[in-house]
Amino acid sequence: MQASTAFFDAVKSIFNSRVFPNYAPEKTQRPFLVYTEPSSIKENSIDSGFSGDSKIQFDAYIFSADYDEVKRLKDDVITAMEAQTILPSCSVLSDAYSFEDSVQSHVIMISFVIWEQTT
Amino acid sequence: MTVHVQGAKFQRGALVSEVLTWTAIGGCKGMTPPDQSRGTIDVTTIDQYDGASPDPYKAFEGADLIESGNVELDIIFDEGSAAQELLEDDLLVSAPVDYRFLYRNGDYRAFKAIVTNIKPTSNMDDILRQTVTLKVSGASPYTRV
Repeated sequence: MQASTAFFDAVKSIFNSRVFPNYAPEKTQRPFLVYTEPSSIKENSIDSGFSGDSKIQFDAYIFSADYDEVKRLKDDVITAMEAQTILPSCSVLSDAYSFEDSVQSHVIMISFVIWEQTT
Repeated sequence: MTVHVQGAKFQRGALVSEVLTWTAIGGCKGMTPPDQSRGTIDVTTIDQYDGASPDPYKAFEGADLIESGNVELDIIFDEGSAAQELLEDDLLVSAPVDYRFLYRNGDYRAFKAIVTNIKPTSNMDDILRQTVTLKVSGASPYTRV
């Protein structure tokens, strides 16, 4: 299963399905989450080529109007991803806080390393 | 002519109806074929350094025997692979088994070897891998086709 599909399934209930790839539509009600997959390293062998396993850097950005809420949602997302069993592996690497002036939102970015099996 | 590694296969040979039949052991990320080394014998003599113009360099001759060394394979562990299980079976027997590296251009390096070590590794954020070491018995000629 695609990492993005599994991620959406794991966290959609936290955000009432306001979970989007790459960008959120304008005027989306907060809180919401945007995720990106900046890189994917393919597992290859000499004899068989691509094994179907990909190691993906997966970043999730949580937007909220409230600081305490964004911190709580960060914990909820990490807990949901640690508990998921669809993907073969998911590890949280780091998180980082910022305040986004343009949308007047507290933002926490969580970085995951996710293994995806597609074949 | 260069020989490219991508697409090469490590294969195990077994006699099937008296015909040597090859089975590919898949998932190799690294293949170290047999090396070849000859030992040396120090033939420097005590009186070599004596005299009016002494020779300070030690002298050697090649030993009679050549050793083919070890083969190492870095393999992505596949729990459903019957071919990988053959290597575990080979660890249990003392007699050398036929193996070969088959390259994409058809060339191959065939040899007999004994599986001496299977070392699994399981690192953080990684998949299971294993390193297999084989001791080569006899020659390991490279055959061009």
